[in-house]
Amino acid sequence: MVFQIILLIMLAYVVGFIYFGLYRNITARIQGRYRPTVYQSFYDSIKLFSKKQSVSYGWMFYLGPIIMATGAVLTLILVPVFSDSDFLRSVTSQGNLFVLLYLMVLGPLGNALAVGTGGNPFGVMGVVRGLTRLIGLELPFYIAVVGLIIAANSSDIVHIIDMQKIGGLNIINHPLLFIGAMISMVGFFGESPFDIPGAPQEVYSGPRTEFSGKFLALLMSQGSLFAFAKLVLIVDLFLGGADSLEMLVLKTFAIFVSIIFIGIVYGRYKVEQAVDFLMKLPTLIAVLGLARVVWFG
Amino acid sequence: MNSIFLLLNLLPILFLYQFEGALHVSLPLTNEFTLSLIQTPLGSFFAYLSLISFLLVTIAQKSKKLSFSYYALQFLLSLAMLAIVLAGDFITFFIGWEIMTWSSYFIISKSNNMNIKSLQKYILFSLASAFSLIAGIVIAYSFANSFDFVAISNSFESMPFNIKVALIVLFSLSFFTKAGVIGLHYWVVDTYSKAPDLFSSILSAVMSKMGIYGLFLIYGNIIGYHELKIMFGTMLNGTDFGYVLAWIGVATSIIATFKAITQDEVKKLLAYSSIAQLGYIVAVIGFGTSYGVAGAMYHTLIHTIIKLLLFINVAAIVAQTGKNKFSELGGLIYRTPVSFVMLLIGIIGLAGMPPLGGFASKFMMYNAAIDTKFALILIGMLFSGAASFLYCYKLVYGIYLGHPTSKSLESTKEVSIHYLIPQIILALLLVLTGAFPGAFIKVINPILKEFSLSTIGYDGLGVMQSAVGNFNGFFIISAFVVIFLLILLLIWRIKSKAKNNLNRFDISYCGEVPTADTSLHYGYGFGTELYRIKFVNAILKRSSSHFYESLATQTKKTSELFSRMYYGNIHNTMIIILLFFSALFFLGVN
Amino acid sequence: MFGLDKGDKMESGFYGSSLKCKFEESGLANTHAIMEKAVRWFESRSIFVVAYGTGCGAIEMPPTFTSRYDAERMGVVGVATPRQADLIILSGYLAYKTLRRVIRTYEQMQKPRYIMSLGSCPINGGMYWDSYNTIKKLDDYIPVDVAVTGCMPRPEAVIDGFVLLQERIRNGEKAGWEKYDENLKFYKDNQKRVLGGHVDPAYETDWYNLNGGGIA
Repeated sequence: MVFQIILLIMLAYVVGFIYFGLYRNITARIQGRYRPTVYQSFYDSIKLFSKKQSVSYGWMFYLGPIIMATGAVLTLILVPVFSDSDFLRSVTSQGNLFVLLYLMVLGPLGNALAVGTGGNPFGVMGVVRGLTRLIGLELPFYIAVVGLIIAANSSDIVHIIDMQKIGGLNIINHPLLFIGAMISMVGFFGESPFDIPGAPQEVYSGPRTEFSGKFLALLMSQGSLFAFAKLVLIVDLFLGGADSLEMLVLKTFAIFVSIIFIGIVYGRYKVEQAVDFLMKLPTLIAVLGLARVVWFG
Repeated sequence: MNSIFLLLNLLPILFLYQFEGALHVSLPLTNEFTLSLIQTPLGSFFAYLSLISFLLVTIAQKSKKLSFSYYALQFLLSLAMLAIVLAGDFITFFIGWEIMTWSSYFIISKSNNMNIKSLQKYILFSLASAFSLIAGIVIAYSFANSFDFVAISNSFESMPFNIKVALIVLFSLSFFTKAGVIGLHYWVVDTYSKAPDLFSSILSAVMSKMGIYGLFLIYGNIIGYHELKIMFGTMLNGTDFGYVLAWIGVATSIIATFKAITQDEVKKLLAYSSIAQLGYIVAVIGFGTSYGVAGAMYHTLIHTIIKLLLFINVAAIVAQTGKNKFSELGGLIYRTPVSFVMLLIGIIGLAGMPPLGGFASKFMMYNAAIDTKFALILIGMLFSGAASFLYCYKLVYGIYLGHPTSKSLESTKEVSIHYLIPQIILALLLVLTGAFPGAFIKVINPILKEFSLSTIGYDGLGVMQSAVGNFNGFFIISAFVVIFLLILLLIWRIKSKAKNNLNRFDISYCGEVPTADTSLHYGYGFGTELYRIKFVNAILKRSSSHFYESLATQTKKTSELFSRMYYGNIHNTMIIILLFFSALFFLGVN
Repeated sequence: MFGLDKGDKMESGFYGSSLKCKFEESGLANTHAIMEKAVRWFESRSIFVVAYGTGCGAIEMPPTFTSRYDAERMGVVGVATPRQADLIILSGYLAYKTLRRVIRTYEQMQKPRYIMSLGSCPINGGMYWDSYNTIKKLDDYIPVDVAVTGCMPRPEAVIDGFVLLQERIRNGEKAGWEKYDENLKFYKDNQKRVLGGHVDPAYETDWYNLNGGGIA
C-alpha cells in the first residue's frame, strides 16, 4: 500500500507538472507567443528546491506550506484514481465526499496561518480575498456535489462511479450540476475571472508574497498534486472515473483544457463581483439541476 | 476558596456515577405536586457536559481573585442546571430554570464592563423565556392534570390539535430564546461580550445548551418525534415540522456567521459564532431521524468543548494584555505560543476541519440532511460553514498573527498556567472526539433508544457509520499526522538555509522600509469586503435591534397612556382598578 | 578583500554539504560534481525576474516578455515579489532615492541572485553624467552580473543578456552575490557615502547574517 501511495504521488507529480507545462504552452500559443518547454514547471521546481536560501519568519511560517502539502497529498490518496482495479481501494474507502470537500480547504487555511505569521499585509489581503471568494465559489460546487450524493444516495465516491457504470455518465444525466461544478472549478484552479487572491497587479503575489526557495517550491509541487487530485475528482464524479492510465490522462486532460480555455479569455473580477456573479447564474443553474435530482429522481 | 469550590463541583459525580438510573429522588410537596429528579441518558449527557464545563472554568478562575459570593452563585448556577437536566417534572424544571436565570444575572452584573441596559436586556429576555415556558407548563397541566413528564407525554396525543401547536410554539420560543435563535438573539451578543470574561464561556458553552436540552426534551421525550411526524405530515424523508425548524436554524447560522465576521470585539465575534453554531443544532434537531438527533447531540458536545476553549483562551489574552479588540491586538504568536496552539486547535474544530472533532459532528449533521433529502438545508449549512472560515481566520489572525498594534503587546508574556490547563484538556478532548467518533455513537445510542429511534452503527471506536458513507476519524487523523511528519522531514532535509527569526519588519513591501508606525496589521479592515457584496450587505445592514427598539418605544407610549389614569390620588386610582377587575370577574363568572 | 573567511559562509543548497560529505566518503565526488552541474543547468533554465523599472528602459521590458520576443521560451518569467525572484533587472539610471529601494529589494532576494542592468546610465552615468542626484557606476554599490549596453538596448539585446547570464550560471562562474558577500564592507561603504544619513536599518542587510548567526 505504501508503495502504491508513493507511486500515485509520483504519477500525480509528473502528470501535474506536465499539465502545468502544457497549460503554459497553450496559454503562450493563444497569446501568440512562442512557448516554453513542457517541462518548464519542473525546471522551476528543481531550481527553487536548490535555492541556497529561503526566508522564514518562525516555526508557524515553516509549517504552513507543509500543512498545505499534507492536505493536498491526503486529498490525492483519498480520491479513487482507477475505478476498476483495487488500486489503493483500502485507503480510498476510508474517505468520502464530505471529507474531501473540507480537505480541499484545509491546506489553504493552514497556509493562511503561515501568511499571517509572515506579517506581510499584502499576503493577508490575498488570504482574505481568497476566503471571501470562497463564500461564492464553493456554492455551485457544493450544490453539484450534494446533488450527486442525493442521486447516488451515498457520499462514497466509489459508489458514485459504480452508479455511473449502470445508469450512464453523470455529465449526461446531470448536465446542469456539471456546469455548476465546472464554473467553480475554474476558480479552484485559480483561473480568470476568479484569480483574485494572488492578483499580481493588485496585491503583490497575494498569499505567496513572502514565500521563497524551498517553501515556494513546496507550494508549487503541492499545487500540481492538488490540481491532479481535483481533476481526478471531477472525472470520478461526472465522467465515470477511469479504468486505465490512458483513459485517466485523456479524461483529466479534457477537463483541464476546457478549464484553461474558459480561464484564458476573461479578465479578472473584483472579489465582490465574483461572489455576486457566482451567487446568481452558476448557483441558479446548479439549483435547477439539484431540484431535478431531488424531485424527479 | 477556589479549591473548595473545585471539590464542591466534583460532588455531584457521586450521584451520577452511571449513565442511567443512578439517581431517582422524588420529594412529595403536597398530594398533587411532587418534585422529582430522574437520571435519563439524555439528562446525564447534558449533566456531564455542564459538570465538566464548570470544573474546567473553575480551574481557570484560580488565576483571578474572585469573591466568595461569586463562587457561591456559580455553584448555585451549576446545581440549577443539574436540576434542569435531571428534572422528572415541570415544577423541578421550572425551579431550576428560574434559579439559573437569577444566579447568572447576579454573576453577570458583577462584571466591570456591564451597563444597566445590557443587564435589562438579559433579564427581560430571560423573563420572557420563563413566561413562555410557564404558560406552556400551565396549558399542559390543564390537560394532563400532572406536571410529570411521563404523564404529560402520555396525555399529549389526546390533546386538541391547536393546543398541541400552542404548546410546541410556547416551549420552542422559550428554548429558542435561551439558545439565541435569530430574532430572539438580541440579548446574546451584549451579554456574552460584557459578562465577566471567564463566565462568558459558561454562558456560551453550557447555558445556551439548556435551551437545546429543552428542545430535545420537548421534541424527543415529551411529544416524541413520531408524534411530530403524525401531527405535521412528512416532507421528502423528514417531517414538515423539521423542515420549517431547519430553515430557522440555517437562517440563524448564515446571518450570525456574516455578522460575526464584521465584529471588531473578540468576544462579540465569539458570541455571534455561538449563535451560528447553535443554529446548526436547531436546524437538525427537528429532522426526527436518528442521524438528525445524533448530529445535534454531537454538535452540542463539540460546540461546548470549542466555546469553552475559545472563551477561556480569549479571557486569558484579555487578562494578559487588557485589550479586547482585533484592531488593538495582534502579533502574539511567538510571545504566547501555547495559547496560540490552543486557539488554533479550537478554530480548526470551529471551522469543522477533518482531523478534529468539529468535522465529525458536521459530518453527522450533513448525513442527516442527506438522509432526509433536505438538499437546500444541507447547502445552507455548507454555505455557512464556508463563510465561517473567514471569522475563524479573523480570530486567529487578529489576535496572534500579523503585527503587534501597540508597544505594550511586544512585551506580553505567556498566560498563566491556570488558564492553560483547561485549554489543554479541552484541546485533547477535541482531538479525541475527532479520532474516535465511534465512541461517541456508543454514548448516543441509549439516548436514541430513549427517543424510540433506531440506533446508529459504529465499527470499533474509530469509525462512524451512516446511511450514506462511513467516516473513519482515526484513519484520517493518523494519515494526516504521518504525511505531515514525512513532508516535514523531507523539507527539513533540504539544506536550503532557512533564515529564521527574521525581523518582523523585513517583509517585501515594494522596496520600502516599514517602521513601527506603519500600519501593517490587517485586523481592523477584515470583513469590510463583505459590505460590498450585495447579498451579504443586505444581511449585514439589517438588525433586530430596530425591531426591539421600536417595540420598546411603543411599550413606553402605551404605559404613558395608562399613567394618565393616575391623577395624583393613589387611593382613588386603586379603587378604580379594583372596580375594573371586579367588574371583569363578575362578567367572567356570568 | 574585505570579506570574511570563505569557509564560514559556504551555504549549501539542495545537493549541498551533507550529500557532498557522503559522496566524498564513498568516493563519489564525481557524481556530486555531475549533480551540481545538473542543478546549475536547471537554475539557468529557470530565471524568475523582478523587473525594476527605474528609468526609460522599462519600456523595453514588455516586448521582451510578451508575444513579440517571449522570454518565457528560455525559462525567463516575471514575478511580482523579490522573495521569489532570481534576477532583478534595473532598466536605466538610478537616483539616490531609487538606489535605496533597489538595495533593499536586492537584499530581499534569496541567494543565488543576479542583477542585470539595461542601458548606459548604470555603467557610467550616461546622459546623467553630471547629475547631482544620480549614481554613475552601479557596480560600485551593488554587484551587476550582466550589463546590457545601448541607449536603450533593444529586446534582442536584453535576450542576449539573458543568454549570457544563463551561460555564466551553467559554467558556475563566480556570480555577483558571491562578490557582494566577500566585499560587503566595500559595497556598504560606497552605499553609505551616497545615501548619507539614510543608512538602511540593520535588519535590511545580510550584514549580521554572514557568520551564520542570528540577526540583530
